[in-house]
Amino acid sequence: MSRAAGHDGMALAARELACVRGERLIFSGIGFSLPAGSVLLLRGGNGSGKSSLLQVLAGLLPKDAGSVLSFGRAAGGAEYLRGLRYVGHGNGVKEHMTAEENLSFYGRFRNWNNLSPRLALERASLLPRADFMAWNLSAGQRRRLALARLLLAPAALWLLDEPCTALDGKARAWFAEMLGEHCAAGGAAVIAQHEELPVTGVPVEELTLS
Amino acid sequence: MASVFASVLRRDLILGVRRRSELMPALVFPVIVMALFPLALRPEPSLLQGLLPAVAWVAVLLSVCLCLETVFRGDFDDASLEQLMLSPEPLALSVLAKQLACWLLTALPLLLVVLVMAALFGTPPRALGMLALTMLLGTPSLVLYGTVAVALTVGLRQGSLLLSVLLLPLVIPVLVFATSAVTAAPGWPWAELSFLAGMLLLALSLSPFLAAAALRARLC
Repeated sequence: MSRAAGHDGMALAARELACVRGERLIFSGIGFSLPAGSVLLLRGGNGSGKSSLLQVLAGLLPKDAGSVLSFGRAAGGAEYLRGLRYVGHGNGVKEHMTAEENLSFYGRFRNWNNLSPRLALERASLLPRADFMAWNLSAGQRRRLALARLLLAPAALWLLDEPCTALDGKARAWFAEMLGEHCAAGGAAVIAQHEELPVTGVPVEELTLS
Repeated sequence: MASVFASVLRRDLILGVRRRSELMPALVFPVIVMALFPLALRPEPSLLQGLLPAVAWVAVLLSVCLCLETVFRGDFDDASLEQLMLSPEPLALSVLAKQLACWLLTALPLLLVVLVMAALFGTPPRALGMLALTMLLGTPSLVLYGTVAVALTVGLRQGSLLLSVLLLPLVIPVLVFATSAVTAAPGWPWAELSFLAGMLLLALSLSPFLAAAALRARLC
């Protein structure tokens, strides 16, 4: 049991994970342990299963083998979900609501109320667009709006799928700063990304899927 | 738990009101159907009054089915559905809030439209009252059973055909008992009304959980 005890302190520990969709094996034998305060970067070509792995870690896709634990809590349980933030391919932004309404919805829905929606928008440089309907926002601004959800309340674990898609240089720097603060506060993150992470001073490990 | 239900209900009501133009076809449709019947048949009051329960309820049924298709589609397309699923609270709570929002946005205005049209048919007040009562008991069941079928087909390309095949057998009992209740007016059709109420209670207790399970299965 000493090995299991060693995994208990990990922000995320996966062992022998496998995922089959339809008849196709997406990945198998994936294992890693991610300590608090560090980042795991998922690498691999298009279709190598990065998004599927993130969805399995979030509990959105069932795993066909293996185990996922966060601080000893099994994936998919209420406690696990409480400490989890997921930003997938889609932004989860409603086009017919303003930027601020989009954030306040998630604030109310999940009781994320450490930072007010307006302050989160300010940090994402979206405050001048707070009252714009989201359909008026550019792709990069919508991505920033999705990432601004992460600011509403702290969490132990971020799962991000290509977070920098459509972001310009300034927004990338903002994201890097946000990620740095998250890790400095003891948070961990799993990020699927093709380019280098623009972040410094954070322990980054890489996992390549084939 | 209350905050999950209230926030999703509020959000869907806001979205529904802002996108009301998308709901208009479903409200205009029964008006057209009910206006065409007297033109196609002989405009005799006794004939029209005999046909009214059937015409009104078929129009309501098809109209609700038209609206249902979109219940989960928006959330599926913009990935809000993933975020609803990642809540530590049961997904069935969010589903129930969406079902209530759907009923308030579609079935309630539909009730008013159909009652006005039925009055133009020369329907006596007792039958109008019974039509309203059967719609109040029957349309929530349509929405509740319908959303389970919609949840099973969300994200499918050819979903609409599959949806009608799944949905119609579930809602036909509502149609049968509702129309026979209206036909029985001015008598008091206890059996039909109890059946409609029973269907509603069954739907209310099962459908949020079934639809939530179906949504999870669809995302896999």
